[in-house]
Amino acid sequence: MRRLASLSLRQRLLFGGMVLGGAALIVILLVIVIAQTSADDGQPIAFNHKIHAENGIQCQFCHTGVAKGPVAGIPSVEKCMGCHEYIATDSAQIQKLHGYWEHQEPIPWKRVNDQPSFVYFNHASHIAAAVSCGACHGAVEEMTVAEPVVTMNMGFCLDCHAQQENKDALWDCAVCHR
Amino acid sequence: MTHFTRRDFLKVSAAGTATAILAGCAQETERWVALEPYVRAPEEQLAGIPNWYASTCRMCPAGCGIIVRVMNGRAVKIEGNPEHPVNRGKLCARGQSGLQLLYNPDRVTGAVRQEERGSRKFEPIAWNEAINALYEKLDAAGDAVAIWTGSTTSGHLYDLFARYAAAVSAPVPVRYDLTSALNGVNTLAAANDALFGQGALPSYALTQADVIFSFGADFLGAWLSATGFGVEFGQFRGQRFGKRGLLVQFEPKMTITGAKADRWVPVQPGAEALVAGALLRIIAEEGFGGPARAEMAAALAGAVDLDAAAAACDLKLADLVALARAFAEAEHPVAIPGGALAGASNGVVAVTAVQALNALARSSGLSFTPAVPAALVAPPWSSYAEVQALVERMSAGEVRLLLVHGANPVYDLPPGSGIADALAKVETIISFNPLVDETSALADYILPDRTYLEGWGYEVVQPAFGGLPVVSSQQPVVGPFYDVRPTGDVLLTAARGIPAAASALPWTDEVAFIKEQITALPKGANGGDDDEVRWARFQQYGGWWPEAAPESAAPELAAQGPVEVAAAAFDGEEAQYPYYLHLYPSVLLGDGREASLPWLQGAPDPLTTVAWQTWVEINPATAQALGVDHGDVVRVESPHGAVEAPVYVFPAIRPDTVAIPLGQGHSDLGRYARERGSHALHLVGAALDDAGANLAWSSARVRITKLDRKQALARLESTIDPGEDIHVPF
Repeated sequence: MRRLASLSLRQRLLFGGMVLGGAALIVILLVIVIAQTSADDGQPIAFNHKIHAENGIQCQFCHTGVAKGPVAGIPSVEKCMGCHEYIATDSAQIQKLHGYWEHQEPIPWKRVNDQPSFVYFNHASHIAAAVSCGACHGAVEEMTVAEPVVTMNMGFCLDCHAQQENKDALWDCAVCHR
Repeated sequence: MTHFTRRDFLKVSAAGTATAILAGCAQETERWVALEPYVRAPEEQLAGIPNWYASTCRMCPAGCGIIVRVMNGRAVKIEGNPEHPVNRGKLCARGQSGLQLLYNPDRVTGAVRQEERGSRKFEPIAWNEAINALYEKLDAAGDAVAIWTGSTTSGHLYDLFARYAAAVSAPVPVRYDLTSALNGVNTLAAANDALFGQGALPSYALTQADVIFSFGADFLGAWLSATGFGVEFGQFRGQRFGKRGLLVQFEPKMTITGAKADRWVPVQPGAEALVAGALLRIIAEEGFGGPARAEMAAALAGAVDLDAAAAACDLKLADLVALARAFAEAEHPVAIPGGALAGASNGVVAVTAVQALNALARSSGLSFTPAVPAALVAPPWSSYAEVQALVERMSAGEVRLLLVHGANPVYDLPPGSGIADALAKVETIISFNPLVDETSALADYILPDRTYLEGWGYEVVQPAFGGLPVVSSQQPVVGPFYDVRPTGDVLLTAARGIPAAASALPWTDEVAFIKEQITALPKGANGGDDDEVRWARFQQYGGWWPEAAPESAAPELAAQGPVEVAAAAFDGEEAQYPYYLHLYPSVLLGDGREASLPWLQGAPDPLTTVAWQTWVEINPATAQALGVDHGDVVRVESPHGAVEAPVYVFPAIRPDTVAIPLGQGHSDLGRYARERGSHALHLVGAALDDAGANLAWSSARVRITKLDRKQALARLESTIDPGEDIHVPF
């Protein structure tokens, strides 16, 4: 670093400070990003999947689109109120739900699982191929607030696609990147 | 930091970029589309699956069918309706941009009152108060109410307004805006009435044509029904056995249609009538196209100086003769008049002379849209003379209440019309327009209508294509965005309190009215044995049209005797004002109503690639003589006014002509339109044409003064570089 050596002390300090400051900023931001991908904080209502599953409610009862189209869907406030008009009304979380209903406002749920926009993913074809919800989403029925427990990257998809009977067709790039 | 090298700089900037990218990722909403679940999910909506709704485009009066992709209750894309007989699945840039009218940030979000006209201090009022105000004003005005509608007023609303006006013995609503003038609808109707005894807009069978002579009609760009013509033009170019047709375009400044033509003839402004007359005379004298056609031409041809006609297009007489021969000997020749030619002082004569060319080949070419087999008719366009009469009544204080919907008179009329002073004499002005335009800024109340993607309606299409009468349907594809009410409902509610009108307008709401009109139609191509099914199919397929075109005979010539032509007159002495002014509607902004949409503002003009501004097109030879180049601001002065705009040096314009696109120069109409460019209509006087009915908007001469400043042109490319040896076809 001959060039660096040719710099004055003031210049070196300034330059070093910029590099250090940049590095520190990267670390801080990485921590923030990692923390944010965990959906546990920040959900407007701490929705408890486990208690619903224990009461025998199927996934599809709320995520109605899962067998019909690409998106499983988030239930409307109206659907929640269908039961919670009367059930567990003294719970603090349910009272939050009642608040949204009274103001006729949508609940700003945070996304837990997502695919980037260059990936075509369709729930319906997976359900039609008898893939269980848990195969990709983990044991949601054991979770309180849903967690992204599976890293849904390309390797994860292909591991499963490779085991299928029509694996040659499912291995094509254009199956997902179209 | 004198020794800070390039490498060090790159290191630091790389670190900076990395932090910026990471910071961006940390914003969850930017990385992911935010979830927006429903409070109450509509039955027909399923997450991730789009719904498509058929409706009618209202960005111009053509009446194209659209289908709108709706995701989770949001309209996200507009496409052409493949079933629709007008545009057959195609859609122009203006139609695609309709979403930005729906989502426009400058929409009026509810009923408002303005204490002081022009103050633009709008005070929100409750709708019941607004409707009550409308009722009180209507009640007080009695028959002293005037209704002004325009291109984007739905057919059903015009019909409701017309019924109201008839019930209270007020004059018929005016339907006029700048679009109707630029399309020359009244001139066309007058010429067709003179020649064929049918005062309607013509349809041209381009699919079968082998030769098209277009006189100033930019039928692939901004004229009448450009998308429908565009579909037919594709078929014209790709006929069987490799036949592709011949298009000759006569116009002083090249349009997109001229750019597509096989031959572009730069005719002198105002001389189009002369050229059409000369073609008739040549066909008659030379006996081109067989005895029947030559005889017809002889009956229609007036006295024309052939050499003068050839000189007006910078052609040798032999070339003009060759063109006449190509036209007369074609199996299906079509001649289309339009554009600036209809706005010349001799507009009706010029259009008649061109239409007379169509009479030569009677079985092909020109036809008229058949009537819809019900009480439904396309609302008539008002002539400029009728507009003048209304302005005079307003000036005389005879109009106590003015209702404006779908038009913007302050912008649409030249200042010499006296519209601004006339509006000041009107006791109450109520606008129903969704944005604050120049006229709404002078209104006492704005009761914003729903935009066309949120509202109901129908449109009797004029002109339609393929000989099919079409009633196009309009339905809400999304719920209303703001607290806006359909004007039909507002009018019906207010009229209930007025004894004379209550019995004439008995419907509970506008949908009941539309349904009654539509179910009166017979079974069409989309079937439906009972009323409910027919009504559902009307919305599902985007309209009503019959299965096959009804039998119709070719229009019979009603006129006797020759069409005598004369060159057009222009305001201003040639010595003082050396150049012809050629105004033209922007392909993107139309007459200016689309200036509020940033997509269209940002889309480059197809010929010059300029966006976001007004420019003056000047021939390179003229530019050299004036000592101006791209971006030099010039003052363009006519006997009626002046505008300032930068120069665009354009080889495809006559040296004796300067062209300015219309559409900019708004003082209102939202943030994207306001204070941008200039409104070249200010160069035009308010005089009527020779027929005494239409505005002669293309009849001014101008002079050009170079100003001592430059304004960069927002353009993608230039057709010529400085110093390049340019090809100029003169």
